[in-house]
Amino acid sequence: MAFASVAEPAATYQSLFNLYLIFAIIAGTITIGSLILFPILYRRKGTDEEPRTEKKQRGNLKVIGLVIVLMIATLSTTAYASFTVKDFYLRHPDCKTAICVEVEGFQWAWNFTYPNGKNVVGLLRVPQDTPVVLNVTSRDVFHSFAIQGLRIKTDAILGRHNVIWFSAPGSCSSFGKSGFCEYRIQCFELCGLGHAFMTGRLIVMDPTSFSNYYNSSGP
Amino acid sequence: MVKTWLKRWLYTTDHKDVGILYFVTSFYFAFLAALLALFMRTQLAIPNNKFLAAAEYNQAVTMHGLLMVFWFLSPLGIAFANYFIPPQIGAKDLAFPRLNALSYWLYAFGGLVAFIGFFSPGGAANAGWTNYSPLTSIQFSPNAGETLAAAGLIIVSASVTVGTINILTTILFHRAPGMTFMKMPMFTWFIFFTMLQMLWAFPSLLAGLIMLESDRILGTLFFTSVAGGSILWDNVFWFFGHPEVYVVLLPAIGAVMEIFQVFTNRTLYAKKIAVAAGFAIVTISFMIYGHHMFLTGINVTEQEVFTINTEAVSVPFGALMVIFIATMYRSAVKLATPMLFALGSLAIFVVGGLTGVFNSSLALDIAQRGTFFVVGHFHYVMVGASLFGLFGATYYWWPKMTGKMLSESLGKLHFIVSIIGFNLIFFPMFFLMDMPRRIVTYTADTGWGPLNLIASIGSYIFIFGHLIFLSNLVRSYSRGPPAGPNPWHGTTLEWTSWKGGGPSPMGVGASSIGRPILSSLSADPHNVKSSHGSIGPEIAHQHWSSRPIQLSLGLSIALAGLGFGFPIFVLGLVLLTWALVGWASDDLHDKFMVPDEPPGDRWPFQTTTKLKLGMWAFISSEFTFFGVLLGSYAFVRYNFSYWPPPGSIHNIPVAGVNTIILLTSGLTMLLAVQSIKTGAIKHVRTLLGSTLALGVVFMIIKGSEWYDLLTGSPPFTPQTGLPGSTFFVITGIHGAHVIAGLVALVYLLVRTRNGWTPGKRATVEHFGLYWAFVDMVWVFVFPLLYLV
Repeated sequence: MAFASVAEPAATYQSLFNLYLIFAIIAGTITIGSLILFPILYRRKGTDEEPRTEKKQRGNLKVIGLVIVLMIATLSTTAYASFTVKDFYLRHPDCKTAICVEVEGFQWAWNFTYPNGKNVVGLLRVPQDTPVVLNVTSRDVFHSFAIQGLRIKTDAILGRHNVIWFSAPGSCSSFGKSGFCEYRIQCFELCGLGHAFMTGRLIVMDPTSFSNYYNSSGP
Repeated sequence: MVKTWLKRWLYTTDHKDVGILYFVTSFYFAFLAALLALFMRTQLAIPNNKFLAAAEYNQAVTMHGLLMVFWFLSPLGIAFANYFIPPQIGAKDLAFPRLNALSYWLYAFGGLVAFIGFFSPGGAANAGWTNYSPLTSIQFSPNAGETLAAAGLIIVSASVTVGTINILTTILFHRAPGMTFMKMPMFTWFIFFTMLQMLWAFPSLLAGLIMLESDRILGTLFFTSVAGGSILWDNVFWFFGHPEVYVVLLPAIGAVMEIFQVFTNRTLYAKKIAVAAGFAIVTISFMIYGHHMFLTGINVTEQEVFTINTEAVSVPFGALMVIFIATMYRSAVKLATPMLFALGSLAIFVVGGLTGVFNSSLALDIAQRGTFFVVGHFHYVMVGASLFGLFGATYYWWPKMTGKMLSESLGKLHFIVSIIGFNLIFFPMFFLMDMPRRIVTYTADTGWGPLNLIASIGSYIFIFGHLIFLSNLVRSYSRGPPAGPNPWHGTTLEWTSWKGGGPSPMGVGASSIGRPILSSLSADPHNVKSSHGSIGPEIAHQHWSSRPIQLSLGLSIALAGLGFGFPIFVLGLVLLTWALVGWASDDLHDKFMVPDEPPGDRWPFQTTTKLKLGMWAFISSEFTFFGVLLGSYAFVRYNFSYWPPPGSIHNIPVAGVNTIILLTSGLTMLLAVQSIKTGAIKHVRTLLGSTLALGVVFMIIKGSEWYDLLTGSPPFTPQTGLPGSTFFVITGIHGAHVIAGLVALVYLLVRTRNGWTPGKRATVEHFGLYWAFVDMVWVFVFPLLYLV
C-alpha cells in the first residue's frame, strides 16, 4: 500500500503515473528501437533476390511466449497499483470530519452549495489541509467536473451523484490574485456552446480567513 | 462514350470498380474532414483566438470525427478489401455483387446526408462524434444537423451490415480449391476479423441511433429521462465504439503484414500466433468498452474488470509486435515507400498503444479523461497506425489498381514530411494533460499556448505532406511509368490476376504456408499490366445494375426527410419502393445473373449455400440489434421508479392470441420449407399464403392494440413515459421486421407462381430462417413487455 500513505491525490496520482511511464519507456524504447534498427541491420544487399518461402511455419515460439509472460507480469503490477490508487480516491471521509459541498453543473457554470446553505456560482473556497467532499451532479446535460491541478475529476450527470474528495495544501508554487493558492476548475465534457468557458476557481484559504468567509453573506 | 463511362461507374457491381469508388470517395471525405481539422488547429494555435466561433468549432470537431471514422478510415480499408480480397482468395468477385454496390452507395449518400447539415439552419451536428446525450436531445440541439448526422449514421450502419455480410460470405464460401484457412493471406485474415467486429458492433450503434431519432422526432424519453439518459447512451454507444477502434485499425495491420512479407522477403514469423492474436483481439474488444465510462460513477468492480480486460487486449497486440520484429530478424529488408509507411505505422502504433495502457487504468483515467492526452492517444492509434498503414497499402497496391508506378522519391518525401508533421501535431498533446478536449479557445495564463502552436504548425506540415501524396497520385495516373504485373515480387494471388479479372489459375493451391508462391510471372502470357485496366465496358456490362444506386438514394432521401420534413420523407419512400419493386422484378426475370463459381475450399460450410450463410450472418447481427434494444429496455426499467404492473395497460389475452397467431405463421412457414424440399409447389404456395394471411392478421391486431392504447383514457403514448417509449419503439421495430417479411412473402408467392426450380427452393428456405427469427424475437418481446 505504498500509495495510500501519501495523503494528497495529486502526489498519489503522480507516483502511479510514473510507474506506468517507466514501463512504457522501457517497452517503447525496445520496440521502436528494433523497428528502426532491424531495417538498417538487415537491409537488402545486392539487387533483387528471389522471394523465399518455407515449407514449415517460421519461428521459435519461445520468444513470443516470453514476451507474453513479461507483459502479463507488467500489466498485473500496473493494474494492481491502479486498484490501490482508486481505493484511495474512493475512500472519502464522511461529513463529520470533512466539509461536504454540493456541486451542480449547468450550461455553463458550476454551482456550489455549502452545508450551511451558502450558495456560490463559479467560485469554491475551502480551508487548507482539510478534507473536502464534493457531491457532483448536473442540472441539464453531461458535464465533467475537474480540478485538474489536484488530479481529481468526475462526471456530472443528470440524476446521478458522484462523490470525490481532496485535501489541498496551503502552499503551492504560484499564488493567485486572491493571495491564496488557486486552482482552475473546468468542465471536461463537451456540453454545448459555452463548454470552453465553463470554468471556475478553487481558492485554498487559511482556516481563519475561511471561517470569516464561510459565516459572511458575500460570495 | 461519356454515357457509357457514367453508366459504368453508377451501375457497376464489379468488385474492382466498387473498390475504386470506395477509394476515391473515402479520400473525398478525408479532404473535407482534414479541412475541418485545419480550421480547428488554426483556431487553437494561439490563446483567445477568434478565427472560429464556438458554434462553428463544435460543428467542426463533431463532423471531423464522424467523417474521419465512418467515411474515411474504415471505408479506405474496405476499398482495398473490395478490390483485393476476391483475387487474394481466388474468387472472381464478391459473393453478392449487387449488395456490394448497394453498400457503397449507402455509404456515399449517408456521408452526404450527414454533411449537408452544414447547410441547414443551425448548422451541422455539434455534440461531438460520441453524441453524448442528453446534449443531442431536441431540447439542447434543436437544429436539423443532429437529426441529419444520426440519419447519416443509420444509413452507414445499413451499408456496413450489407457490406460485412457480403465480405464474410465471400471469405467463407468463395475460396479457391486449396485455399484453406491457414493459407489465406494475412490481409484477408485481418479483414475477416474486422468484418466480425463490424457485424456485431454496428447493430448496437444502429439501435442507439434509432432510439435517439425516436427521441428527437417522436418525443420518446430514452435519452432525456434520468432512468435512461447519459448512462444508457454511454453503454449503447461504447459497446459499438470501442470495437470500432479496432475496426479502423485491423485492415491497416493486415496490409502492413502483407507489405512486411514482401519487403523483407520472408514469410511471416509465427503466422498461427498472428491469427490467434486476431481472434483474441476480436473477442476481447467486445469486453472493454467500459473504460470510456470510468468517471460516470459505475460500480468499482465493473471498473476493475474493464481495466483488466483493457490491459489484456494489449497482450495480443504485443504478440503481433514481436511477430513483426521477428519477421525482420535476419531478413532482407528493402526500404521502399510501402515498407517505410508500414514501419512508420508500427512505430506510431507503439506510442498509441502504450499511451492506451495509461488510459486503461481506472485511476490514471481520473486525470486523463477528456483531455488532450486522450486526443493524442487515439490519434496515434487511429490516424497514425491506421492511416500510415493504409498509405502503405496505397503505395503497395496502386500499381495493381492502375498499372502505373508511383514515384519512389515523392513517396519517400511524403513519408518524411508526414511523419514529422504527424508527430509535431500529436506528441505535444501528451504534455497538454490539463487542457480539456473540444474547447474552442483558452486563455493565455493556462500556459497551453506554445504546445498548441507547435501542434498547429505540425498540422500545416502534415497537410503539405498529403499534397505531395496527391501530386504523386495524379502524376502517376497521367504519366507514371508502367508497372509490371508484379512490381514488388508479391507472393499473394492478387499479383497473378489476369485479363478478365480473377487470379490466374496457376498458383492457386500452391502449397507453402500462407504464401502461395508464383513461378516466373513474366512468362505467363495471360498477365496484363494491371487487372483493372483490362476490364473493358463490354465485360463490365454484365455486371451493371441500376437498382443499388436507386435503392440507396431512396433510403437516403427518406432518412434525410427526418431532418427536412415529411414531404421529403415521402418522396424518399416512393423512390425506395420503386427501387425495391424494380430489384424484385429484375430477379423475377433473371435480368442480373452471376455465374456460379466452381466450388472451392468451403470448409466447414461444404453442405450449405452462400445465401444461407449470408442469412445466418444477417441474423447474428440482428441478435446484437435486438439484444441492445431489449437490454436498453431492461436498463431503463431497472432504473425507473414506477412501472405499471402487468395487465394494467396491455390487454394480455388479446396479445396472447396474437402471439399464438404469429407462432402459427411460423409453423406454416416451417411446413412450407419442408414441402418445397419435396417439390410440392402447390402445397408450398398454399402454406406461404397462410403465412402471409396470419402475418397480416397479426399486424391488424397489433394496429388495433396500438390504436386503443393511443386513444385510451388516459392515453398510453410514446411521449407519456418510459413504459410507453420502450413499448412502442420495440414493438414498432418488431412490427417493421414483420412487414418486411410480409413484403418478402408477396415476392415469394409471385416467384413460385410457375413451377419449381432449385433456386426457388433456396429462396424459400432462407426466408424461412428469417421468419423463424422474427417469431423468436417475439417470443422474447411478449413476456418482457406484457407479462412481467
